[in-house]
Amino acid sequence: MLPFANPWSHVFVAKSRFGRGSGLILLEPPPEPSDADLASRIARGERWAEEAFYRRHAADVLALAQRLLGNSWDAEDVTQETFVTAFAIWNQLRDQERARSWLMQIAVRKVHRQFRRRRLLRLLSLDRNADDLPLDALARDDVSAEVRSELIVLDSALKSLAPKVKIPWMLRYIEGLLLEEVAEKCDCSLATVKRRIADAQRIVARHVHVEGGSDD
Amino acid sequence: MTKLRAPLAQQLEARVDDATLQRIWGRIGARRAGARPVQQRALVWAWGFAGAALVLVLTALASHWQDPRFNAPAPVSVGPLTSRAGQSLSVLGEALASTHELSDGSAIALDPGSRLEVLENNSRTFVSVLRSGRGSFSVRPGGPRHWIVEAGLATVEVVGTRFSVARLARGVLVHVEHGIVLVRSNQLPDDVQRLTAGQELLISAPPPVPRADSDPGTPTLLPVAPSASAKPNGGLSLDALLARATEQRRTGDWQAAEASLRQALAEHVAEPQAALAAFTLGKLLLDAEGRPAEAARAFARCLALSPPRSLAEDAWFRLADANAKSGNPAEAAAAAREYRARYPTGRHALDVARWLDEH
Repeated sequence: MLPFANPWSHVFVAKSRFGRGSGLILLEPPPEPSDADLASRIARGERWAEEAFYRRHAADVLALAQRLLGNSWDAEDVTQETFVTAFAIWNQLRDQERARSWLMQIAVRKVHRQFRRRRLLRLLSLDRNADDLPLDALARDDVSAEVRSELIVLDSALKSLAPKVKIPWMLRYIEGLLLEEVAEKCDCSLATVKRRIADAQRIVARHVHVEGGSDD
Repeated sequence: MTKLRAPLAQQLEARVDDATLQRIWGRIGARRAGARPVQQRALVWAWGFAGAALVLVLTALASHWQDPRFNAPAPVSVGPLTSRAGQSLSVLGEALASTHELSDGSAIALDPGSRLEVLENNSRTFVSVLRSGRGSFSVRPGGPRHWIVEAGLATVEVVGTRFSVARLARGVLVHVEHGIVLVRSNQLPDDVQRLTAGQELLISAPPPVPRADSDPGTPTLLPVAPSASAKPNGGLSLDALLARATEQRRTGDWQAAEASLRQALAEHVAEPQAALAAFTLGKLLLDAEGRPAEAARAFARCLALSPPRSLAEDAWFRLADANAKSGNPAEAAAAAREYRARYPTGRHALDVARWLDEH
């Protein structure tokens, strides 16, 4: 747990354990606020809600960025910029129930932007930031050596793809999103996303076989 | 053939910790504190972008004109690295200091008495091991190859930079002059350290650990694994043997690694990962020990053990390579043709096609 101040920590609900008249009172913290609660409070300018929202979702944003970018430094930058942007344009969030999905959409946009930035830097021979988190480095400890070797090959195949086809494929096959969700995250139509995933899959399938995710 | 199952995120584990998240939160606060109103920010962006573009163009042009590498022949990005004169690379270094300019514009300078052996050299990877002495590496930025320098206790990975690696009596010293490198070693926290320009890292040999069964007054090194001559330690799983062989290869103990892999094949030949053990043994024999005939047998055995597709592709390619190096051109050609038939657009298709054309 992060060492942030919990805005709810001072709020308790007094509840009698033994019924009316008993001298024993059990103090219970209230349930955590929902994303929609936090979203509406952020919209009202309550800074603690921003911190609580960050605390709830930052790890997922960072993990997504690490998997998509394969680079811990870039992933940290993307996480930072995702939240900076989200808080700056919070009034554009239409459905507060879907604040998390909206946040992830911003994160994917930032990943796209990071890829473009790296391409420019590499073009100018200014990018010396080695990718330190290939998929095999992110594999869980209990993953077999054989699967790990397949992940090495998959990572190598994905590196040969352009970000605009690689990211939809990764959202589909690595993150397990539905096609509609991939389309939303990538800001493009369902047909475009299907085409891009198919393009990527043709390349990936030459090197490794990934089961599932092909129900489209 | 191994099949990965979507969603793959279930088999992955992000590198996330509280300290990192706390650091990012601090950076977010700083960024927001420095934020400007939207219109002013747009103006700053516009001017900033225009200025940055101008500076970048001027910088790129200046480095293009000044860099002597651009007066050199066009870099070779297909096939293995060679010397500038086109000679193949296997062992570098001699009694005197030497400098080796490579076909992609990179350079390696070795101190007197240093020895650098090339383990893997193709269009994507250049792996070498510094057996002794000190080497300075100037790697062409943005090149197509992933450079790895093994130095016993440490592995240095680099994309484009200038750095040196020295094997000293007290450990391995890595110094970065320019750019960024990753140093991997089991002596480091989390096994990895990022070094930037001007930074230096000394990885010391692990302190002697007394063996449990030895005289406590007589410190001795605890071996990472039994040596090749030691009696095999039965009962280990295939995964454990593969992990042990990997560790032994990392520390340069090739003979012990070979023994572990042979043990894995002898005791677990019916398991699906036995093919991986055979393949690793072949690589070890071919790259590290210079025994191509035995390596060819190991790769052939790997293929007989129904390896996964990606492994099979590499095994056919390596089989051709090992046969060629062991003086069996007919068998090398047969393996190369088999590779071409099976993987016409494979990772090594260009190298195989060129080799077949030449022979």
